[in-house]
Amino acid sequence: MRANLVKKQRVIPGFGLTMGYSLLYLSLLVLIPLAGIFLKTTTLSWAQFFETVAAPRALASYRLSFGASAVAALLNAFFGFIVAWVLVRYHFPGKQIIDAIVDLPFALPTAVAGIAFTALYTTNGWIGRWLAPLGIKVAFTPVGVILVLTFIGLPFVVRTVQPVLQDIQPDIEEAAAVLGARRTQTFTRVLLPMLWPALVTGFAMAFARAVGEYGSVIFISGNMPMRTEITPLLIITKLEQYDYAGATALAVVMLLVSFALLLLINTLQWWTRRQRV
Amino acid sequence: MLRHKAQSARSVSARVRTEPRAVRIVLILAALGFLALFIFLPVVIVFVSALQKGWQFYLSAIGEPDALAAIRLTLLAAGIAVPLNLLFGVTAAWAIAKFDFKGKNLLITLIDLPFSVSPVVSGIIFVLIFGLHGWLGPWLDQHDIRIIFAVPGIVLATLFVTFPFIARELIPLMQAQGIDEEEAALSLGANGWQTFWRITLPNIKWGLLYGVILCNARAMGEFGAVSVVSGHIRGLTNTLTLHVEILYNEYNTAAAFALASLLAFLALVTLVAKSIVGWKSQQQLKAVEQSPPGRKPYEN
Amino acid sequence: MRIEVQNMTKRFGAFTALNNISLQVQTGELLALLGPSGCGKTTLLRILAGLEFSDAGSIRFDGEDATGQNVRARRVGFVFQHYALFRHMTVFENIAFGLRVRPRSQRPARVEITEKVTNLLRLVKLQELAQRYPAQLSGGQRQRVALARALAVEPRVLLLDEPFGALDAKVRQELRRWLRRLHEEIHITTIFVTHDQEEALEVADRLVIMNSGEIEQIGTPEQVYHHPANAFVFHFLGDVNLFRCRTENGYPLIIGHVTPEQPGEAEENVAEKAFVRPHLFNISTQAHGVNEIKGKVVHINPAGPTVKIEIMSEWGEIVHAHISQEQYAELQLCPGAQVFLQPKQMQIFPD
Repeated sequence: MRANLVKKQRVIPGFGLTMGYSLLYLSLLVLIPLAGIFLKTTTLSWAQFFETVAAPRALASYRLSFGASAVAALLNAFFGFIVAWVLVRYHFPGKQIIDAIVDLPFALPTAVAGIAFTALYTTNGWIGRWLAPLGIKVAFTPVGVILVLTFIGLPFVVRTVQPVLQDIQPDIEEAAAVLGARRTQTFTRVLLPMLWPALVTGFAMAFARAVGEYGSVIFISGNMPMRTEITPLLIITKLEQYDYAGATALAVVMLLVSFALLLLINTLQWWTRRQRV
Repeated sequence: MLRHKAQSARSVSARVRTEPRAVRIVLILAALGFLALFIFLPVVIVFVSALQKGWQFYLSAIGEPDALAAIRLTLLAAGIAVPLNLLFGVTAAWAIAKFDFKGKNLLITLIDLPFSVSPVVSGIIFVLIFGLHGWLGPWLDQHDIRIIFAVPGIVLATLFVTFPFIARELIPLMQAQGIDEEEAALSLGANGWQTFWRITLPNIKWGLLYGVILCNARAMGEFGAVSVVSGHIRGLTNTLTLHVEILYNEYNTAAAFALASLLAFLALVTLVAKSIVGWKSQQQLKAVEQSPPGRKPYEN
Repeated sequence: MRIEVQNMTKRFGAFTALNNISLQVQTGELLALLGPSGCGKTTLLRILAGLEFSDAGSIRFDGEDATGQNVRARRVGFVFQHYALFRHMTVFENIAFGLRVRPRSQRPARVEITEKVTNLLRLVKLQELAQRYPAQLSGGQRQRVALARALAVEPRVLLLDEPFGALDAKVRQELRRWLRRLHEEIHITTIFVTHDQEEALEVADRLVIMNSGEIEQIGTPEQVYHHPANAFVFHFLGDVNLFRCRTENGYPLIIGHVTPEQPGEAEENVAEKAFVRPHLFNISTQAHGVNEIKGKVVHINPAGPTVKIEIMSEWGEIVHAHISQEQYAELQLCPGAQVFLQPKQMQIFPD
């Protein structure tokens, strides 16, 4: 790249300026701060690091964060697939509005979602009051965490499956039917394999988003250590107790998980694109 | 006769491609039920709870000085973050879409990075740099500069979490458009700026606006990252979302929901604007797809 | 304007697009760069425009060095293969663009711009479509807008990249003749790139035939068609049958086939390859004895101005022959008939 910058004459102007500014801004705002957190962990010894990240309270928080995120992403994969299917395949009144409203979790601040869900599911809330007599508690339990995380990740599966479904040409299903496949066979053997990469990608994106979520969860979880405390909250708790080393160690764990998920999602997207060609 | 045949052929094809009526209805109801439970009800309860004590209370909750200060701070943070990230988005997209260089995919991944970082972690990285116990903390303290638990920290955190929004809208759009029109403009004697303002910008304006809308929504609604750096000082370092939290934790539910309804309203406006602009931007992209493939930047 | 290209070389990574090319273009000439795809013709055109830069060699415009000049300074008119019209501007605005972006001191007054654009619209016969957008035009109309837009800046040379490539056959025919007439009218030095030999032969004053980054031959249509410099040119300029031949008593004698895919496999005593165009055969049902190919008719296509016949030769390969409708009626050929082919004219190139 450097050789190009120095030697080659470019026809379209502005490469040096735009590339230079982009790299500078990216480095100052994103890369250097992110590198800083890894540098900070090096001030911790391995023993200290493990003591923090493998403490029972931390382990319990991982269980909740990853477990609830996985369940939420599964719910989203299932219902998101149905929503995408219905939006692409069927006609019903108000479809345009429904289609637009799927993106609401992207637009609604997470804190607002958090207090809204809490209000709905407390024992005297609109939904909670019907569940309480049945002995089902949602607010301030892991179930509540799963619900808000489902909300947060809702658009991902719909928005990854929808375009792929839209691209499937009618003649593929017609071909399957002509060859004697029943509708269910066409679905399981022809359509589902074509949609699978997009579905898995959507699942991974919803999961990745849920793992890092903070704003909506803290209202409904009740934040009880060992029971309903997610990892991001544990980080904040440590920060408020001026345990910077502990907070950093946990943040690094979260970052590494995010990077791994990002890598996975990039690979999955590459897979989806290859299938679509 | 012929027409009748054509029609029946089409309906056969439609039958091949769809499910029995009962299955369709069940699926539609399942989808609508899911969306009602997870999207419709939460939005409705925000507005209902906001008005539970009447309009009088609602208006006074919003007009309260701390609330106004929070609104002002939110507008300020978004007012700084959106233009800066817009500038970055345009320059990054120009560099990436109009030229070829090694490491382009890596650069795109790095730009997307803030999306995959937990908001809490996004806040912490700035605390570790500018906080009292951070790298630059002691020096900043000596010079009496406050970043963490002050407005600059909130702006920085907002910048970070909204960093990729505009770039990631523009990069694929500009890549799809290629460099043909820019080359044509240059061959007709236009200079770089003229080419950008008169040719490139009109071609990307809807995609750009789409990115701005998303960026703004996130900037105004961000909670986790600003929560870490804010310090929660009422009237000073509380954004709208943080103020909602404080009121809620003080069991002032009606006031919390009153402010939350502003944010929910903003979200609805965002959705409407996004739908309109998204549709326009699709048209723009379709125009590209219909016209012949543009020349991609060549390895130079 | 006179253009001189000297020792031009251009590489893209490991691929050599142009290998030490030299070329002169005379003022007012209409020149075609002809060759198969990937031969470097478009690269050469883009280098002339300043849209790409060579690794070695020089360009002179009217004797003046232009090698390092950027695209703005060169004042060339470039018509892009896919036109590259500005989507968000009307036809009028597209054509006016080059005048409007001039520095204020050189920019014509508003009235002048309008007048000039109107004249150009008349020249390309698009007066009625001035307020349309590119998306509302047909391919041929877009092509003419692109041309008018390039001419508006009064370029010193007009460069066209596959100007008719994206059009359907009928429109292409019309536009070719139109371009020819237009060139006679305005007489600007013009270079166009094409992979269609018919188009190049019909339109151009001179052809530059290129192959794998090198120039195979430069000449008028007459020269290159009747006196091809080498086997490639002969092959490229029209349908051809390829034979092995041997020189006997100073005369070449066909002794078999060379399939183009394996030309290197010729036997040692075979010195040469003979090329025969399909329309240059004497075809008869009786043997005459000298330098003849015996074969059986396999397929006849009588549709069109000539009758196209496929003959399986005694050596087991297909030979293509074209004969006139009159001759076809006379011979009363049908599939299976035995025929003798005698080349009226052969082109011999050393292997």
